Amino acid sequence: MQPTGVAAPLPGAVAAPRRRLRPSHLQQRNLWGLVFALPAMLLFAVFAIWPIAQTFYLSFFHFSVVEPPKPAGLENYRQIFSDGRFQSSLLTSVRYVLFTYVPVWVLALLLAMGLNTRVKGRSVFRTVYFVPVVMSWVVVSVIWKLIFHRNGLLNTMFLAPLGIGPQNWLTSTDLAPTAIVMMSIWKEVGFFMVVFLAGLQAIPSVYDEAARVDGSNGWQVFRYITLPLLQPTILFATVIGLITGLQVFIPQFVMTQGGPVDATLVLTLDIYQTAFVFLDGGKAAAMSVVLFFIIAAITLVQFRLYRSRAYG
Amino acid sequence: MSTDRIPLDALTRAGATRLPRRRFAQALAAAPLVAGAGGRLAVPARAQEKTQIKFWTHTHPPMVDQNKAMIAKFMEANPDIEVSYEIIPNMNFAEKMLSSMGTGTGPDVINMDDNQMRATYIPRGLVQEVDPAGLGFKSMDDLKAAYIPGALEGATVDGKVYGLPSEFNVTAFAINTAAFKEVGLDPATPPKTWDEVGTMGQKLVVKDGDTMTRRGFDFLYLHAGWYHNQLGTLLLQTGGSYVAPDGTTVTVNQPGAVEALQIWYDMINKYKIADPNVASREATVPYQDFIDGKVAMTLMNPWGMGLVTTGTPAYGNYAIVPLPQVHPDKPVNPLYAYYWALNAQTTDEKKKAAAFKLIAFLASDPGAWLKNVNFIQPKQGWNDLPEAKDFPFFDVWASEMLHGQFLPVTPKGPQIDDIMKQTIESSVLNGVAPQEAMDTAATQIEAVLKQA
Repeated sequence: MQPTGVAAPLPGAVAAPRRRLRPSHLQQRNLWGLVFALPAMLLFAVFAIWPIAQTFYLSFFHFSVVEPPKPAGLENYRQIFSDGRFQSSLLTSVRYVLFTYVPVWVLALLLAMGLNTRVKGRSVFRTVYFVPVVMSWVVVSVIWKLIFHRNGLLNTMFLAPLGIGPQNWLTSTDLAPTAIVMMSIWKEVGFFMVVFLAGLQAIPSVYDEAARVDGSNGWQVFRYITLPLLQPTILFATVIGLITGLQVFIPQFVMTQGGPVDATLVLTLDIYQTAFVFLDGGKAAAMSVVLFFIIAAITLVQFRLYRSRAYG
Repeated sequence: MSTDRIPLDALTRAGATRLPRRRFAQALAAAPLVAGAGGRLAVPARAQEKTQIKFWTHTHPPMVDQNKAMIAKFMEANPDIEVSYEIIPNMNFAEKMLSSMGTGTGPDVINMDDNQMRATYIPRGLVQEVDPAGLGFKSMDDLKAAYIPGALEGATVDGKVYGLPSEFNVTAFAINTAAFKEVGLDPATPPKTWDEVGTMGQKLVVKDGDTMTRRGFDFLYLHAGWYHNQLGTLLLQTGGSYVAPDGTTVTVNQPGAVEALQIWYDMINKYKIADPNVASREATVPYQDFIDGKVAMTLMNPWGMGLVTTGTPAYGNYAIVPLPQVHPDKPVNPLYAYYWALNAQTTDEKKKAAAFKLIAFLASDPGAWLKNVNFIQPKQGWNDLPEAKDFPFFDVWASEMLHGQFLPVTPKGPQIDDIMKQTIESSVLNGVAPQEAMDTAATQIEAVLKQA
């Protein structure tokens, strides 16, 4: 008896004409997916990938923005590494990142933990802390510029009643970086609070309950349960914070224009001035390339570090 | 014109619960074509025939109003020309102009100051030489003869003229007469030297605790260009410079230049009549503190009077007086000017002709500019115009102009201007002694000049 199913062709028989190959349903879906993604991919290629490639290319040229580029070899890179202004602006950027984002992460985590409990009115608090995030950096910078003015709100409403004399928040080389950091913390903490809140809410409560049944106190639960399980969120927060921080431009541009005496001249502002004020586009491109590699290296190190901790 | 159109009933017919995918893709693909065709059809045929030109200026409200009014008249008189006018914020005017010109998206007609013209725009070939015929002159000699001597100097390199002046400014001094009277000073005898500014300023200061609510005098703390103009004012008088005429020897730490910074420094630290920490930093209204009565004396340009509007504390309470001098027996005032010029990338003959026609039209009514904007257009006989008779403090402006000089242009101007801004700030904000600050500046300028 012939087994049921597809019969093997008899030897010598002429093969029946095969059906035309048609893409499977999955292939069709993928094709349509590609078609719909194509416009976005094209836009990304034109407005992101192409400019990045151009920046790499132009970093090997003398390019004044208004004149055709001339080959420069590695001259732009030689110049920036011997340029005190570049080193100083890079250091200012690093300081900004550290003094802004480390407090932001700590504060955001504390706030998230506080709002992850059944505290009354937590929705209101979440909204209030998140409001600065949805405001534009330009608007926030203009408002804080007024607040930090010598005759502004901070000096007159808060410091004067405490008997503290008016401070030159934006015109003192010591205070201007601090002022921008203060404003940035206020602006950024809400975003990271929401990130940490999402991370905390993803941790099943059974771990916490089990640890408490075993006699762990609050700190031990945080240290040995919450923190390790929050590691992917912490990785996300630090990567995003570092990238955002190193690319900061608007508050320094709007509030101080990099001054006084370059005290708030961050690297991105330096790049902007080098390209469009000093008309040295080649050097600015080289600076951008260096910034790109710094950000890439830091991100890579962070990923490696967390991976080794997670699986080591 | 035929375009692939999607039948409307394909979208609406009863029973068509969902749009077939192929139809939907066709609709998506055809949409831009349909929209494009529709857009093109929507443009009136007449507009297509018009020559389109772009004109950009910085922000100065009275000037903007005047430009708009004149452009409207120009387009009415020239229906074949369409002018698109754009206003750029002052703090980023230079950057936006240069980046747009670098990408070929800049305006056809620009309005730029003499320093930028001579330092960047002309040497880098960004603007083209003016065409006397296009501007309605028989020859270049005729054009030059139409302006007072030196008026075109700020847009002239190697004898070639690249722009017509839209405003010609000399720096003088403004005093708040009400404040003078209030403290027993006579506005008719204003300070003649910078030392007198310091001593008279001390009487004019009003304090609330540690904060000066009225400063006796102050400089303006805006962008690098303003720092350059103000220090340049003092440098002209002290005989100092950043770099020697050879273009390579740094002279910024020589006595003349240090003396200039010392004058600035003394206003804050010796006489204590100025305070950069409380100064307004809004470049759209640079004289805001003087207008608000928060500063009793200030450097002033003719156009600045246009910002003293009715209802402000300074309105009716100020006078323009001669600029204080280091050597009153050898007075010297800085000149600076803005010029209308044509973008070198505007090569289409019709556009060029339209652009020169616009410049000629804008330059055709110096009386209106004087009356409405307080802009002096230095044409021959400007001082005989009926509007000049009503021009506030005309005699002072005219006499100050007699000893006016353009500030010298230095190589690597933008970098050096930035260094000088930092130098001034380090001295006046951080208290670094002028000689020390200028020594640091000299090292930085030397490094910049050595770069390729």
